[in-house]
Amino acid sequence: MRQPGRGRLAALAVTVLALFVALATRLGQMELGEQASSVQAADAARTATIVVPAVRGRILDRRGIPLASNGSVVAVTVERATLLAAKDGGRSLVTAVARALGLPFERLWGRTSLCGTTGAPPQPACWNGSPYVPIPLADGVDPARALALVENPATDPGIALATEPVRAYPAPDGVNLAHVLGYIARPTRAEVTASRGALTDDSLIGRAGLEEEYDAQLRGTPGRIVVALDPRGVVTREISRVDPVPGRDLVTSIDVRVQAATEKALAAGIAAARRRGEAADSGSALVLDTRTGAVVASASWPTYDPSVWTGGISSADYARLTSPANGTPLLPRAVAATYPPASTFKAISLQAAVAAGSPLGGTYSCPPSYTIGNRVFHNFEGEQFGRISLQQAIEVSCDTVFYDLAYRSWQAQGGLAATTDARDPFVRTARAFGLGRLTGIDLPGESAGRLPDRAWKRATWEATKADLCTRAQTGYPDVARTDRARAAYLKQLAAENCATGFQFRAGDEANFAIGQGDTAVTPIQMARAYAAVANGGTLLTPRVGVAFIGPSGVRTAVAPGPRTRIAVDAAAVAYLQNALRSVVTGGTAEGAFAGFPGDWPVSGKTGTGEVFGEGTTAWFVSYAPSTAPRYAVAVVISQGGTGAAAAAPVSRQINATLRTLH
Amino acid sequence: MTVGYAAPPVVRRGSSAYLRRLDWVLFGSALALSVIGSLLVWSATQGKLLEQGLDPQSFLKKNLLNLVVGIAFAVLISRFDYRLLRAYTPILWGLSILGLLFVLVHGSRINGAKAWISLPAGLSLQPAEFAKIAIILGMAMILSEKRDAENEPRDVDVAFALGVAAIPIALILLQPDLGTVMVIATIVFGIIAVSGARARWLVGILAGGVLVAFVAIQVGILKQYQLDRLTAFTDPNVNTQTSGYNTQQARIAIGSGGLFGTGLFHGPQTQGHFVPENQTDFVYSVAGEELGFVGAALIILLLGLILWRAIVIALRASDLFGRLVATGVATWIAFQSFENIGMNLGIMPVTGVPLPFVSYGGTSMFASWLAIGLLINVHLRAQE
Repeated sequence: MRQPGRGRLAALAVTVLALFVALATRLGQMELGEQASSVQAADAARTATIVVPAVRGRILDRRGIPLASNGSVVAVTVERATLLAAKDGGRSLVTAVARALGLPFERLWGRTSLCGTTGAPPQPACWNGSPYVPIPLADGVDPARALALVENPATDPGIALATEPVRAYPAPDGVNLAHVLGYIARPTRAEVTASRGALTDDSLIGRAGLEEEYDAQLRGTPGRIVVALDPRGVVTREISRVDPVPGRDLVTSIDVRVQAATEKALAAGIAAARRRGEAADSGSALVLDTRTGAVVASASWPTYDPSVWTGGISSADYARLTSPANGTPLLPRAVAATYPPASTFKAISLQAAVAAGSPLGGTYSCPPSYTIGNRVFHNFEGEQFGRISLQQAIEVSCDTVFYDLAYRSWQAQGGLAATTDARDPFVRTARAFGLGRLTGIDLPGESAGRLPDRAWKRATWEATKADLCTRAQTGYPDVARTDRARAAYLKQLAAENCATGFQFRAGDEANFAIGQGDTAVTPIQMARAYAAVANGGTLLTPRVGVAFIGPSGVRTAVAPGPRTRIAVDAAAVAYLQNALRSVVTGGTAEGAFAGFPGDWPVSGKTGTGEVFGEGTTAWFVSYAPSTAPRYAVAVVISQGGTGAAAAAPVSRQINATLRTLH
Repeated sequence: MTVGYAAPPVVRRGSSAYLRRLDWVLFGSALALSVIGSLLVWSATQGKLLEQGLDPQSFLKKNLLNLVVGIAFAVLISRFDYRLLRAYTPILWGLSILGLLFVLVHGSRINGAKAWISLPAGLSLQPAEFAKIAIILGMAMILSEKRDAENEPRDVDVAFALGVAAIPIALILLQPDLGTVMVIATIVFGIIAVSGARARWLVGILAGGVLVAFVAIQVGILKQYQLDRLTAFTDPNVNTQTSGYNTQQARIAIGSGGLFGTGLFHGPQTQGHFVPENQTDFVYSVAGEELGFVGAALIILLLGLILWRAIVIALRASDLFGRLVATGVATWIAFQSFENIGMNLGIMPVTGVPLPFVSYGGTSMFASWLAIGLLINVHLRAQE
């Protein structure tokens, strides 16, 4: 036969060959070339990992009494598969649940949408957790109603009860301790990303206080459940499970009894100051172990109820906690607020004066005022005591004695010619006792305070001189409109500071010696400095954390901070200790401690700090028992009046409780 | 060389002669594909069946039964009297038209197409598969009759042949089953080309095809993503997000196979039921995942062997009828295999045609083996 289409058959053969080679090539490309990425895509498509948060460790007082523990609230949950299987997407089911719980349907319905998906309501109405766990339709529900709903045989089996862990604050003896405990809250997006899977959007992490400081130990290690998903994203089975490792309990040095007394005494002291007509807007009181630096109690006022953080804080509550008009209740004042130390600083100045060569046995003049250059420095309320010993100068808190000591020291250093603080005994002693730097306490947000020495004056002047020099030319026209005299004074001051603002003048040294001017300290710094006086010159690192207790009971001590031996003059310290005792027995604090039991001798120093345009800052820093010191107590009340009237009685109340411990 | 239409002698030989002269490469390749297919169907279905509390081997058993019936059909048609086959062609064609009409009225709708006739005992028939055979035989008959083989087919015959194909195509379009229409269109083009019809017919059919495709795209029958997939082969990095869940999952399955695959019953994608229809249209993804490159390429190789034999049989056919029948079968298996594997690999649009011999489905299995039977028949005739 002739061969019609023979050539065309050949063309067909070539075409088929080409197509099949193409298939084989593509197959090879997919199987051998793209394999790795495909396998990863396959794994990601098939499984999901659910992060199971570990039970958070508790925070305990030094005897093991829980200060922060774990409670739970009841949640009603629904399986995702149940919603998907329902014809109406679960609307009628959720309606029934809402009715049974007596809650609005919309609130429950919003939870059925994952946050960030299309049509989802904004946070916190949407569900922010894993898409692979039962969705909590409502949490914190009435357990009785929830049980009735789930026990009802008519209820869909996809509806279940779950308990959700929340932080609980047992408040033994009514202690609040909010500022030391801190709080836990949701991590930010950035923290979730940076955690490499350790955190999820619904994790809780420590945000302040001990919860933040020891978050890693308290949080434990989250567990992981890897589940298989069907193509709808519904969990079909569990592939693997790693159980969470519970967080470790933190034993603190806080003593519930002392803490309760400290909080009560501070609140009472502030209330009393207000009754006397003082503003008494805030305050702090804390107790430090003078031998170890352990924080036995720490209070800050105003405070707040830490349970406002449970389940996420409302924006109104947050605004209240951070509002200055409200006293910024969130601020942990014991470590983060600074005040002028005022006369409590004289414990430093006395040692500085002795280091500068003033004899301990000498007598010193205490006139009502002291003039340096053209400035007149007054004694508090213009008191005068003639020639007195240094002990008496401490006892009655005579400022003019210390002005003179400071002025003479300043002159001895070369006056204005001295450019460094290296030879300044006042600055050196203050630094040695830990002022002007962080104490290293195991609480976040600590302030270093400020020592206005020569270096600080120069740095400040460098930073502000451009503005000052402009003001020296232009003056203060806005102030002049209402107060010509003040504007003129400010202009002159600006001119002076523009030219010589870097100078550390005699007046600066005088102010420094009585803890006034720009000096700023935190209550924890003062407590620590007095603890060093009490223990004979050892500067300790304050610690709240004592030990961790693991789930199996293994106890691990919290690493102590460094202990520094201060190069003190032993005679001067002994002299100072006597002087501080006489403050309580016959000096400025005599009234506050009148009738206080003699078996618990207290040594301390009052302070009344002047703040421009405000009421005076009341201080009383002390330690007890004077004979064998155990506890340093620092009390400060902002705008509280005098230290003797406002702060010393608070310290007395705290010491009354400390006395009962021994 | 003897020419013409002298009535060919009917093949009536003993079984031993039949077996000796059988094209064993052809038969062996088809059988190997069917066995591999049965294993893949087994692997793809046993987990699902077990979960539903059914006999996990039920699909395997049905598939093996289909295979035995298919081979029986093949043996039967390969020994059928050649002249009778030609004589019965109009009847076969008419029956297939009746079947297509019946399915439009009483058919079951599966995956959007009314293409199945439900039979008792859970069986179902897909008349379009048999229509392919009717069209091949019908066109081969018309284009090889009443003409001197020296001549080109008359235009009227070509037109008549096109008409023979057009009626079932129209009925299948009504189902609608675009994939089968594409396969038949390729068969029609192949038979007309090899029949020796003038080039202008081929150009005309091609132009018509392009026009239809253009219109189809313009009115949105073919979607942009289907076109994207067609071009994906030239650019493997093309965005796969648009290629739909089914192909996405199939691609993941095939891509995770590697050289030797995960092993039968051990493919996570397959056993996790992530690829829908993976015992029928997407059975190739099971091969890709569980048998790897080696197994999946073997399927391509075996199909290639069948096509090589089919084209050789067409070349050596004793008459034009046989050649055109073999050509029709070759283009059919070639295009349908390319389309099916191509869509599994993400380079062809998803049109829902089964992979011959491998996919689960009685009608597909019967039709595939009937095609083998036709090839054997032509082959045995040529050896007379």
